[in-house]
Amino acid sequence: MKRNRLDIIHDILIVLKERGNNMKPTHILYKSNLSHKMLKLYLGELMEKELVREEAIKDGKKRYSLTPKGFDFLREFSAMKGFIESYGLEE
Amino acid sequence: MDFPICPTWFLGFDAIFELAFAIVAFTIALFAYKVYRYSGVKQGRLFAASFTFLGIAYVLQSLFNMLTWRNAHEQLCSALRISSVAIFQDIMIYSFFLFLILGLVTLFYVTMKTKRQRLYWLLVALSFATIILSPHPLVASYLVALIFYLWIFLHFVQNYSRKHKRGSLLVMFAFGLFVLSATQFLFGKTGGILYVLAHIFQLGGYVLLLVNFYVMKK
Repeated sequence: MKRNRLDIIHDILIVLKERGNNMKPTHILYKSNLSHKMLKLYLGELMEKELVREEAIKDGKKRYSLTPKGFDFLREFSAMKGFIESYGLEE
Repeated sequence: MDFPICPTWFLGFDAIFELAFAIVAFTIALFAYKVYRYSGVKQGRLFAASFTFLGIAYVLQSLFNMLTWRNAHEQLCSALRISSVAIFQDIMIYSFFLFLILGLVTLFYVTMKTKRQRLYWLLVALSFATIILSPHPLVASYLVALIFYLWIFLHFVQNYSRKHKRGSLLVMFAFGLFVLSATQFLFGKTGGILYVLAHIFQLGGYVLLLVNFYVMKK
């Protein structure tokens, strides 16, 4: 079944949470089952929404982790999904 | 403009009911906006706007009925230095319908899942032209509202038939009650009990929306 935007965002955040909340982009890519281009787009959007933070480590490599707002999103996810479904707001 | 006839024993209760509708509408609007902020689902933003408009409409209606209950229209007009009570009442009633119809047009537009903004403005223009040019603006307003409620209800019937989920069932029943309520309002001018029934149906609808909201958040 095709994932919608909300599902993809959820999958990225849940991967981060379950894997110690500190991951390299390649690991997120593998676990969230997205293309490199799509992951870059989504991570950019998640950082803009302050759900995920980026940290630069040595050699210009990056690691990603959830912000408190990201944890809040995961708590509210089923309610948001239920809301979208019950009112038929899917795009 | 004519006003709906409320039985004397129900005066005040109607204002309390409408305030409750406003609170539920604002709660739904706030959560829809949160969904939009987090997920980027654009329908969420418009959905939030539609329920905000409905909430504002109910606040205005509640205020109007509160003033009627307390016999305070004249006092407020003199405090605000408005010479004509009738004009003040017309402004309040027209403002209520302005926000109600805006809310319903926006909700209908969301259910259409279209990006054609011109369609939205056409619906707004047609709705208001119908009301303003009608010799019976009150009846025309309720009729326009009823038509939108019917179409929105059909969307929720389709939504439920696709998903068969408890949430979509509750929303479908809620909008079914809103359709019944709008029908009652249409004939409410002829009998006070229909005005009361319309409020009860509407209360039932908002209780269902609130139950759905509570179940989702649990």
